[in-house]
Amino acid sequence: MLSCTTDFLEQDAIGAYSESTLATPKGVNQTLIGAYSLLNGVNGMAVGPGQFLFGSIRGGEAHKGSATGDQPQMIEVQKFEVTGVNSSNQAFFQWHYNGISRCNSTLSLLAISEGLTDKENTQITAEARFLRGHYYFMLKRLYGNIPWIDETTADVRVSNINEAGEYIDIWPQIQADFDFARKNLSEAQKDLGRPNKWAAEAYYAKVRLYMANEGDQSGYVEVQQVLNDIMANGKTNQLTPFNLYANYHDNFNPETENGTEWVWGVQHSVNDGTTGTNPPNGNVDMVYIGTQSGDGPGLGRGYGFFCPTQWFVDHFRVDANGLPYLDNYTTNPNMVKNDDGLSAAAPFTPETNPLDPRLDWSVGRRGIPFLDYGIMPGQSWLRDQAASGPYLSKKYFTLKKDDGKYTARGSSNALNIAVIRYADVLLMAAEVEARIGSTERARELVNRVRNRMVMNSDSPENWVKKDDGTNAANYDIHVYPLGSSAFSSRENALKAILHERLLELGLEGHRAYDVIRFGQADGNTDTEELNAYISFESQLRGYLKGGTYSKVPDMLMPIPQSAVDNSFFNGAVTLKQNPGY
Amino acid sequence: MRPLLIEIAISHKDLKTIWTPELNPIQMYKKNTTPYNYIIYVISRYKYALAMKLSCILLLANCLQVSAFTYAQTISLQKEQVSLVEVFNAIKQQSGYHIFYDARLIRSIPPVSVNVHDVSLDEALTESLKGLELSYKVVDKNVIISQTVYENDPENKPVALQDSVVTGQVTDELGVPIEGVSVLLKSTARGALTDVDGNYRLQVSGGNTLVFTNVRYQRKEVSIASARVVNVTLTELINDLEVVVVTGYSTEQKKDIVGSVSVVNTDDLQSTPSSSVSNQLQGRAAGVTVSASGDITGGAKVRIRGFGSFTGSDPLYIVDGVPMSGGIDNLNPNDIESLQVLKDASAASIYGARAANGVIIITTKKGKAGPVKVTVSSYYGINYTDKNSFPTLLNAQEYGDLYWRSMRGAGLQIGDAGWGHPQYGNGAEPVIPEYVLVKNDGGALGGTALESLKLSNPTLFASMVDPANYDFATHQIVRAGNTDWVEESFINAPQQSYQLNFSGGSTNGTYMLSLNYFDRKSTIAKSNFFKRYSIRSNASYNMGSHVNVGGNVQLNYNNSNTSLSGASAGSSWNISPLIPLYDISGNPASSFAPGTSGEGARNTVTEAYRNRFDRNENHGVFGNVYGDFKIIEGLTARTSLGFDLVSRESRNFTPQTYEHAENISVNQLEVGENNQMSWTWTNTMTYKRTFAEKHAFSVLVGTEAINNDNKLLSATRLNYPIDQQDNPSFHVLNAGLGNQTNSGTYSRNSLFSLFSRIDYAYEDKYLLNATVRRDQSSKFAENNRTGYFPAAALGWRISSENFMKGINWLDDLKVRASWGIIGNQTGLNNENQYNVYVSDIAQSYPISGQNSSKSDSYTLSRIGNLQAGWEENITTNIGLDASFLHNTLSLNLDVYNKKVDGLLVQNQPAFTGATGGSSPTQPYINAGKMYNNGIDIGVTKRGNINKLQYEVGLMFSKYKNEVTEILDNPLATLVGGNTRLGDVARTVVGMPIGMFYGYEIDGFFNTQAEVDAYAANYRTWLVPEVGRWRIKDLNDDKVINALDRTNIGNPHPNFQSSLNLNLKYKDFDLNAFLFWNQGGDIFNLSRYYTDFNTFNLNRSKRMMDESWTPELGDNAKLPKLDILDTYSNQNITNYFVEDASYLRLRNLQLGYSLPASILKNAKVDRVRIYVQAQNLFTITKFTGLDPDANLQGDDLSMGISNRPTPTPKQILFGIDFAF
Repeated sequence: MLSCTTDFLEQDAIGAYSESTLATPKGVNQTLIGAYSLLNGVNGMAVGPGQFLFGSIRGGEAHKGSATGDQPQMIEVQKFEVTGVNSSNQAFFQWHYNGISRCNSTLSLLAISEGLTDKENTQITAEARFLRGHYYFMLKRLYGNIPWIDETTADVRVSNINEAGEYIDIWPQIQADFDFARKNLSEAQKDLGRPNKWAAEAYYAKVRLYMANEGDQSGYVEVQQVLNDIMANGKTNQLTPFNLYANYHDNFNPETENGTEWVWGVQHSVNDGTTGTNPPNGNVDMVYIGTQSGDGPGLGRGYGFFCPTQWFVDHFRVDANGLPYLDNYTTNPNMVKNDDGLSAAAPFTPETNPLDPRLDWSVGRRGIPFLDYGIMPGQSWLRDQAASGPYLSKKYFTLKKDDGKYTARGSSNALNIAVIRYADVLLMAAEVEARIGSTERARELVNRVRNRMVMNSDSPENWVKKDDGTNAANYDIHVYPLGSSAFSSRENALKAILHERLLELGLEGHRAYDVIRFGQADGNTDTEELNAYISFESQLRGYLKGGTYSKVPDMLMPIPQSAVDNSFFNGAVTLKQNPGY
Repeated sequence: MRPLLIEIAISHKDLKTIWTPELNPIQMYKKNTTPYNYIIYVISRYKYALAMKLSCILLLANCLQVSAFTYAQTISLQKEQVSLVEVFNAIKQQSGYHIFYDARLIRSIPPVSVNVHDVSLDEALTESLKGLELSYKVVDKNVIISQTVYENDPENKPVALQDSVVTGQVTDELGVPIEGVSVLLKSTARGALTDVDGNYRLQVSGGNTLVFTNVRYQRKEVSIASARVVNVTLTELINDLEVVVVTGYSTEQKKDIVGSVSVVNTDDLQSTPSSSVSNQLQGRAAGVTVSASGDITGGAKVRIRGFGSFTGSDPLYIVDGVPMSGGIDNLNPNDIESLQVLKDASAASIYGARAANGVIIITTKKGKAGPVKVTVSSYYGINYTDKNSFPTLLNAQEYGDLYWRSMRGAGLQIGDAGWGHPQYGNGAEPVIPEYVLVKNDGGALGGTALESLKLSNPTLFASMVDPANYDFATHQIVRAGNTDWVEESFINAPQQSYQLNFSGGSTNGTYMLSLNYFDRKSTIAKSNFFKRYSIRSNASYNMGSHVNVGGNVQLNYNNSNTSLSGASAGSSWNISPLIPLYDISGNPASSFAPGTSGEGARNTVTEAYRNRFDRNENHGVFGNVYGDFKIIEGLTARTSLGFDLVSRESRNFTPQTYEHAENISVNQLEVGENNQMSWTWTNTMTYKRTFAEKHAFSVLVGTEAINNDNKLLSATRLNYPIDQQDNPSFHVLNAGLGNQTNSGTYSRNSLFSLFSRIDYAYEDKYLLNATVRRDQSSKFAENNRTGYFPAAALGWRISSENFMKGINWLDDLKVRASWGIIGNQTGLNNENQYNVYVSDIAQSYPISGQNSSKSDSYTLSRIGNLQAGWEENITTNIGLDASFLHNTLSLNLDVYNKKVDGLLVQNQPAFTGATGGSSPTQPYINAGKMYNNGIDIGVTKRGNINKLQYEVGLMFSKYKNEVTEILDNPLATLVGGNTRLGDVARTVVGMPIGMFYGYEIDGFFNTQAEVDAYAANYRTWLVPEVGRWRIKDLNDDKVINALDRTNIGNPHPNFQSSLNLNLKYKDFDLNAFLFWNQGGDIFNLSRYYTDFNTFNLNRSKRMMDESWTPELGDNAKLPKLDILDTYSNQNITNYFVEDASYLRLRNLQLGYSLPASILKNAKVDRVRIYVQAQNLFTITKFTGLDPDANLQGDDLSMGISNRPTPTPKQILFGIDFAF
């Protein structure tokens, strides 16, 4: 009777694997895939790989968009009014520590697994540590003062301060992860989604650059050396030397992704057997940024978020020499003409003054073809122009002709999102040259990036064309000439490089981080840039009024209040809130 | 043969002999009818309690004049000083005759000695009863023992009326004739029963006093003096203390209950017609909190004595001994015979696991021996929503005016960027356009654009609005409307129910068969309906004298459409008044028009139509089969196999839409299947015995095994032929041409328990009850699987003490105290114990870099806790039951403390581990403590004022809940109420669960000086501006941040009370039921949508009238109108918190029963018609739709009101027949 009872009361977990299944070569490999799977964040714009909220919106490149009242916590981010209870902030923090946790699980499992060759073992370790480095990098640059948790940590309630009460800096550990990865990853990986040695070198350089910006001046030398090595020897997984794509838009087209400009980033796929309204491997950010108009991009089923600012657009004005205005680019007389407040039926002629051609690959604006969706009609494609402004973002939409092929239900698409693309490598190299090397060399590197747009101007994939084959707008771009005043000093060069990063990498989630780290290096770039942006843009979108950026606390996000509360251990919380919060 | 009969308590005073000429046994024999059958026949004519019927059996038997028969068989007895029972048993053994007697009659008889040899039965009986005041009668093969009645008592010599006949009529206070009253000439054996018209006729020689008795009425003695006609009015005797109620695995008399049990009057319960018993329960039992919604399924949330768990505090429902896991709302409420709520540990702990949050015990109607009885009940009514209870929303012009004021409030001027509205133009004042929308091949042209086009390009405009160019998909044309969406959305919805009952039985068994059809429509979505067809068959069979088997089975089939999406009450609030119902071609007009879009604001009328093919079908089989075995005298064994099978199917078709702000571009069909199977096998053995007359013992032991299986399957296909999307024949999976997805799960859990219960009563004065249960649950790992849960209760019937004997006004007074522990595991997932690794396709990754392929992963989807064990609910209860004034006034009072230890709390790990989105589910761990204490009071007064009978019931419940420990972390919070504003509710140590948490508003910035002073002193996220809210700096650190949040509202009521009034006058009856919820708060989330610039939704009149202006100053309620104000609606503030108090007339019913005199010829027992109004009025300050929202959502999120469907008002008409 009793044994019968025991059987009756025994119920195993259903549809699940036991731990012993996992400690096998297949188990470890699939656990590692689990660590990758958090890269294509499905938890909203806050954690999406495009860093739309904390990179671009926070940096002034775009408005939250949508309608008033929708996700109001994003406005707090935009206006530097974030509190410890901001839900986007909390989602970001948790998401990336969850990624770290999956990397650590893989490493722990690896330690007890049998049947793997040393080579496989090293390869898995290197990939797991690369991913861990990535997740930590995302957290480190946003929160600064975070604790290090690895596969040896027994209790994750690790403090972010030392015994003296000072914040612990975990840059060295992040550096170590990428260092291991770059020394152990192979050059060619069969799976294009895995980082190779050169991806790790590039990420290592990026980490070291941030460290150097924050004060580790000696690091620049190493960054310079690593980046030079990449530029000389760096190859993709298919062993093609890194190079810029011939066409700028190839970076934003699933047909051409994972090519020579792709260093490392997040893979997306659709119609791959995954299910749900928003397929989990698709670029789910599209659900947020898609339009609500039946004939608009994004299958008409998006929420209308992520709308570029006028301030961002104005950066694309060029002077008679085809060069950007590095100063006073935000003053009103120079505003790129827009249709703000203008109904779709009212006549409108777009800006006729010269513009950098990259603008119309980055921003959807009235009167200009929006990929193959036809001419962007203005107000009718915007969910609520009064709230979001007159622009749509453009880099993440796939072509209308590829609907069904590269898109899935909802409005997810298969477009990959780069974390580091080769243009970023070149601009980082330019920056290091400007900081510790030769401004001339910096000019050359910036020109390499600009030159793609200067050349190949007949390609409709490089300069946006109307149906009749003419340029969609008055495009003009030239390289900085020898002796250009923009590179006459270290300071000027850095200004030009920061500007170029916006033109080239705009809306790709870099801006806030770039401005803040430049500010770390020189003390004022962030304060100047971000406050200038708010004071300019708040005249157009009144809801920004009152926003101000101060280094402390706004340079860092607050550690989520619940993260502090839940770190309670032995009678005290182990996480110390960031300064000023 | 029928020892059970003898077990039934029969009050001594009922054992009066009656005699009536109609009951001539000779005739019975002529009819070849056995007396027993005849007795059954007599019983069937009575409609009163079983006790009375049995007394009749004995009474009748007592006066049957049957000659002695001679028996071939002889009897020998040689007994020395043995109990009379033993003698009877011996006689029975030797003669084969059954001997009937009332146990009480012989209880006080001292041991007897009998010594006879080979004598007849008569002699043996005579000898045995010699010297005792007992007589016997032999009827057929039965011997009936009764008290000797001395017919020629010298003290009662007939005086004057010898041999004369008295006639008369017996009626109740309302003049209704009473059938079946026994009329006895005092001190004689002569008596009569009243007939159906209440008439009697009696020879009165030998007495001068008539005694009228009936179990339902107060005994009355009338001196007949010289009267020839004696009409008597009897007062109804209401003594429900003798009611036998079902408690833990057994029955007991209400008066003997020592635990805390609310016995709910099922007549009252059923006076509130509803599809669901949980809904009917509101206010009917002290300590039971019920919160209903206006949802069509009629379900409600029930909490007994506060909250016992974070994993769900639903009570356990036991229907006919079987736990109902598939949802109590599948039960047809018309079948309910009795309902008891077990509230404390001593009452409930016998049910062990799952009983921690109280047990609701329901028995369904059973048949009674006798000819078939048929009852038919039906009602038809209308549910409707009182539109006056809605907050006033703006019309099209007012909306424009408000918008213009808001633009000016933001400092905008005409011509500024941001001035104007896509519909109302760009002018100095808002102008309602002619058209709100012309769709231009996907693009949406709004009113303002069209108006300007009208001027700039009249030809183009004319062609755009030309109906000839109309196409719903690509060229919709919508004129401006001024729609009162609340008016359009809410509809009058019929509700009807038809119930047919057959019941009856014989000595061999009883049956009850019922059929019910219930149909309710929705007050908000025209296509929504809920239909339930149910059949119940309860039957019981005697297989010989020792075995009784039976079954109680309900079959039900529900067919409903409860799909609201877009047709919700919230939509009717939010959608812009500019949108008309239909476009120029009669197709749905909706939120695609520019400047009118907003979250979920849909054309409610057409959404309901779109959803018209959605279906939920629910097939249920619920019930049990059982067998009762009488092993020896007093020892009974019972086995019951209960089952609860539910099979649900759902079909949800989502058509392609063209006019939504968020269009559905690909239609889809989703089909779901859910099969639940639970079985419960219970075996009990009961031994009942009274020793030495004073010690009444009852012992129960039992085992119980419960198994639950749950299977889910769901499948979706996309892309149905667009021209067939309105054809339900195509709503099958195979007709879909697009992507196919599916999912399925299976879960199982089981319980095994042993339990025992002892009841002991000493002279009915001191009562003791003790239970212990051992539960084992599959939800815990083997080492923590077993829990032992003891409970005990003591009762002292003070009124039975000698020193209380003289107090006439007190009928019964009992104090009781109980203590016990109950285990709980409700809501815990069976896999809580396991680390669960899955290969979930949602956690895959396209590692290859291809655009349509993925690699699978292993991820940890759940962290296990092998240490989790039983939650322990420790309840102490002190209670008092009293009954006064001939049982017309009764009082029940309970004071309790319910402590929960080892509360299962979901672990909240540090965020530096795996938490948040896509992280593993955290395990529940025993790391919380909480207590509830409270008081439940019930008072009932019955009586009459002249011919008006009344019954007033008052109920009062109050509880206090406090969490005393969570997760060993004083900072730990359990959040709830996730809304667009963030987490509204928070549960922390030292507070009741589910407190609202946010900022406190500290008035307004009334002057620029105040703004400047504030800006100089405070660092804050808020933007100080004249006319905006100030937020309190609660910690006074000059920084407004998350630390300044506090508890801004408490969702728990101060108390709940109800008043139930029943009146009866002649053939009329009236029931009124008032429910009062005092105190507690509601978080009115609706305000987020209507009182701020939230999306382009419609706004409240409040916003127009109560927004800050210099004149209003601090008298304002809302910040100044400012189109650019994005912060006022971003944060959780006490603006949203409102008082939840309300007083509601839940029910008002007026009935009329046709007089018996009319019915007699029609062979109908009873016809009653009634009209009823539900929720006729609600007095409340709450500005939302329905203050009865306290328990909606999970317990950590209660009291958040987000534009729910309000509980409708109802007017209905009903009729009941009984044959």
